[in-house]
Amino acid sequence: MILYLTFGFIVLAFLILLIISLFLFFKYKKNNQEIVSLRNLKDSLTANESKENTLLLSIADGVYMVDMERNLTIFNPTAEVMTGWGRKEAVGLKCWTVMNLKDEQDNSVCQKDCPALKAWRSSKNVIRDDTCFIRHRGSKSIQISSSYAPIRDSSGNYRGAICVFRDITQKKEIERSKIEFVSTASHELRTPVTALEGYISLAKNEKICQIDTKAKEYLEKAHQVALGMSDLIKNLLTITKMEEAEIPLNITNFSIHELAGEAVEALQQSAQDKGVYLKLNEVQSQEVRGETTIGRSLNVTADKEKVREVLYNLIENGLKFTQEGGVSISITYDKDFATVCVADTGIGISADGQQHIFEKFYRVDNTATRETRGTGLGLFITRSLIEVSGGQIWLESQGGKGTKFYFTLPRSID
Amino acid sequence: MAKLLLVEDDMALRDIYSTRFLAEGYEVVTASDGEQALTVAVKEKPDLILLDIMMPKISGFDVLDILRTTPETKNCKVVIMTALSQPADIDKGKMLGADEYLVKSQVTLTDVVNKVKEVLSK
Repeated sequence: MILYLTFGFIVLAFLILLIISLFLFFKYKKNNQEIVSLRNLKDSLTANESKENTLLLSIADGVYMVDMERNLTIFNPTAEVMTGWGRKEAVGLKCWTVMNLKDEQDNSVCQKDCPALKAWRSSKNVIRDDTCFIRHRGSKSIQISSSYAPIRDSSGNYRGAICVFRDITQKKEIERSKIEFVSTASHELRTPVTALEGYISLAKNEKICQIDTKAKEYLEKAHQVALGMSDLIKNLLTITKMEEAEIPLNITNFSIHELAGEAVEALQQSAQDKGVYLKLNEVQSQEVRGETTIGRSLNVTADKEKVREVLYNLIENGLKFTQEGGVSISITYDKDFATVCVADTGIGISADGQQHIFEKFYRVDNTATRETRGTGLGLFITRSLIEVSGGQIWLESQGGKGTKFYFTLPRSID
Repeated sequence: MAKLLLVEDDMALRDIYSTRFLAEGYEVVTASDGEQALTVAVKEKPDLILLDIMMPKISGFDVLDILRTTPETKNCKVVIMTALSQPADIDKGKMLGADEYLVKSQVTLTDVVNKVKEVLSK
């Protein structure tokens, strides 16, 4: 009996031992698996980190990151070379201490227009080609093209911003000398073209010359060509001035409705000569999108002479391409902007043409327009003039059904 | 008929303007730089001076300033005709006592003739 009991205990003890060892075995195996997976995770994290470091080290563009207080957290070797700051001295400093950005007018970008703040506010990337900074412990100014993007964590909260920048000092210099070349060439061309136009005009003058009808007809054509050349030179000079940011703006508050009225009056004769109408529609409503604006003046804030040029350009274009019907101007107002619409009933612009219409030297390519004089620079200038005034310009058109040009101008705060 | 002094350093433009003004019946004398302009102005006492600004020796602005402070020429009518089109230049011309300010790229030969007639009839 005792023998049986002893055997039973032994078997039980053996079983318990077996269960315990099995338990321990599985636990060990599981731990081991966890350790392996943890080790793998660590390895892959290190790999990621070193991959990031390798990326930052080898990238040919300057890269830096800031936290939400705009302290520098990462500063790559290219950034070191370009700025003259070492990574160790730069990291931890406010970004504007290291990269004190100025725009082309020498205004501080960091103070008024920080691209990182802008990226956070808009949750979009900010791209700028118009800033420069001074190298550390030096006086050399480096012009850069830069992009700023917000950094988010996995739950979508902002953790900082990253900036990638590239030295474009040389590129800008080449651009500047190109503009200077065009400017000088245009200046030099202006005097001979004026002389050419002057001599032709003398030859056509009956008080000065007696010439036969055929010669007069040819001279008339030559005169038109000379006038076209003179327009082209004038436009080229305007563009080079704009590109050198040399156009001084004389910003005042004025009534866009009155100005449009003056333009309509001044160009009425050319409309009548062509047998088409030119009119300014009365202001229909001051209430737009539920925002009533009664009690505020309808003035806009812009450079009056530049806006006059824009109106002339758009109206003259409308008249040029309209054979039947005419050109009408209407103005609407919303809370912040006045929108001017110059609508014609002319030949319209194809979808392809609409894409390129505001580009330099673009001319709508169809037989109807080849007969019309133009430099292909008018709308490029128009767009630039509107943009420097803080407005926008766009168009709606269908081939054969007329064109509507719209532009906006900021309303004055009076 | 009225006597004009045409001050212009570009030979072709001088030729063109003087031919046209002669055809319109004016008596025309010319000068090709600022210094010459002052000499001719005192000697010929023109009724009107058509004055360029960017010229060799003495600029048109300085010529105008001297004309206005010289007894023989201070009442002579002056029409500035220049390539300078900035508002600051126009203000300077008017301030120095120009009767009219024309920007070359904005006017035709006929416009200039009409403007001269207008100023002389004032």
